[in-house]
Amino acid sequence: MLSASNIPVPDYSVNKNPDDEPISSVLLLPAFVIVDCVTPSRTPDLISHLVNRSPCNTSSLLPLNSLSVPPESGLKIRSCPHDYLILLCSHRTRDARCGQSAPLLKKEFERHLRQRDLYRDSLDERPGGVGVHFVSHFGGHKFAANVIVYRRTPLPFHGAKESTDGAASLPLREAKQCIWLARVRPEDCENIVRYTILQGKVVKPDRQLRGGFDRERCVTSW
Amino acid sequence: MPSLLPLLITPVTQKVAPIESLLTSLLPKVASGPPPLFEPTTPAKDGPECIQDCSSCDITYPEKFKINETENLYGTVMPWERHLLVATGKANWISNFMSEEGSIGEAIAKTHGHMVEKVK
Repeated sequence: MLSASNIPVPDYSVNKNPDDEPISSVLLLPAFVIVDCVTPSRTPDLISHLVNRSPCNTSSLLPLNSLSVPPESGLKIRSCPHDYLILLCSHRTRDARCGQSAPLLKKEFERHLRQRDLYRDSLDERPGGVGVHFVSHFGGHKFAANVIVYRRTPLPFHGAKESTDGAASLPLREAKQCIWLARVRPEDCENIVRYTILQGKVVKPDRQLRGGFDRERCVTSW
Repeated sequence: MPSLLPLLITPVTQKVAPIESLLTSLLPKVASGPPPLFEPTTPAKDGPECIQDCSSCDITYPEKFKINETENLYGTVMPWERHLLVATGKANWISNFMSEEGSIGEAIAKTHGHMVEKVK
């Protein structure tokens, strides 16, 4: 799945791209890895060294997974700082409802997450917490609002490296679950934080569960 | 007779069913069908809050916010293997951001077309 997100484009002024191409970062899931300095011409390296070698939703969780990329590719990798992600479809040019619901849900999620010091907006890279991002259309707007929750495995053993320039391998702390909900309303946000984000449970499975995966139990909805 | 084998030994891509209702999980484990994909909350285990919507929420959707309330929801997502989120620093994307000429999204879609699932 390929999405655009409102995650800010990092400031790469020191690594200015000589070819005047756009340069940005890509968050790779379920690996929970941020690839920096991605440009259109570096895309083949991104795919061959990182995407194709990264774990996928149907692969089992292994404690020793890692990723690396040759320094000459120009790409850099680091671990995503957040433990959980909430992705809100906010693609208003595809469906007006997504453009309406996403900002309202973000505000309500923010209110509940702040009470637990778990809120991280797009610029907030403090470790842990919940990154809340707007993303482009991922299907099913007739069931708006769609909310995708990614939950990561617990913290790694002490001393694990969380970033690398690429030459060394980056140990992964991957997503163990993805819970895809729909028909989410503002009044659902509190229990989604309390039970779905923090515990991996679903509060209204019949009404709101569209699908997802659990890599610890090796199950998917498809 | 449904299989009583633990879920752990089922194949990696085992598809599981949604739960039929909240009550199912309260019944003895003789119910038919595979176990739920995710554990449902139950008042007995998770407290009465799990069946109450947030009472302090003062945000509401616009009155005209109408959605499909009846169709079956579970299993309506396409399989996906990995998810790439391109940082764009904005949310006002054109209808198909992957068609934006010269963009990273376009390059990934071209190099790795199968990342792009058909979305409804």
